[in-house]
Amino acid sequence: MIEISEYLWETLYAIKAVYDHDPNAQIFQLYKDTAIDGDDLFEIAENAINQFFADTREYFNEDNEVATYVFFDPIITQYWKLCDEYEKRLQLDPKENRFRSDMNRALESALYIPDYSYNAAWYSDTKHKNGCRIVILCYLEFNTYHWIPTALSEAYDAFVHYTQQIKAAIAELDQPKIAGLKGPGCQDQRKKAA
Amino acid sequence: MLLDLHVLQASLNELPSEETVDSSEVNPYLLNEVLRPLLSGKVLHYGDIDYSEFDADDLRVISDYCDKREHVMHGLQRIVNGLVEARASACKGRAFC
Repeated sequence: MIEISEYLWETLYAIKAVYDHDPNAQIFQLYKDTAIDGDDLFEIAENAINQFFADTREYFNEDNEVATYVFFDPIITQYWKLCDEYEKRLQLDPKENRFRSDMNRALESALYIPDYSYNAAWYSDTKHKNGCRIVILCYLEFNTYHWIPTALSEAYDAFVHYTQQIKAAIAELDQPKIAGLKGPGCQDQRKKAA
Repeated sequence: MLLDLHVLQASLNELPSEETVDSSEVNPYLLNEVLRPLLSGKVLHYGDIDYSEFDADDLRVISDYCDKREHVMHGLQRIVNGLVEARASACKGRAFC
């Protein structure tokens, strides 16, 4: 009787997350001729983790056996910079900025992994020397590497979605002033803005 | 307990053929193009897979399906092992002529 490895579907799960993010990702070329058997789950999941953000760094602490993944990307930095700009324009406290709270909620949901042995965090301070980033810590008993690509895919999509929203909100900040302009020559300005 | 293999075989043959585990919820592509070829010993490569034919949830469904199937197979294997380990007993009546 041929038995199917329990890891086979998990490996496909990791690759599928990459496919849904970018069907032409290099991982498909890399493993094109690799037989599907589930034995290479960890290796493929590791490669899949690298496919979402522009700069992925991995550290492994041998003393306490913690794997740390740090993700940097222009889309992450841009979003938090747009948050800064939005707050500056409206003179808002960051706590009052709905785009920060919406993104925090989205990231909390995206980076949820059904495993007790991990932690995830994100840093939005644009002035911090290490830059804006997402961090995932996988502790000794972490056993759900195949889930990380899905988490990253959802986090990336959240940045894309909310970047569009905050850009539109910032663009709208100028609209009322222009629409409210009265007097000679203002009609031309309104037409130009539209 | 005495088991007449002749009667067992005849009884099994009378049973209708049906799926051991319901596969109606399983994505047909994963079932027919991935799982069944793998179970028949065919080697598939990651490049052979059409990832647009299924979604992530389908992988969870087929994984559950395989778990249930394996559970049934192990149950059957236990029965087979019991039969294999049973001591044969000679037929008491006249079997020929």
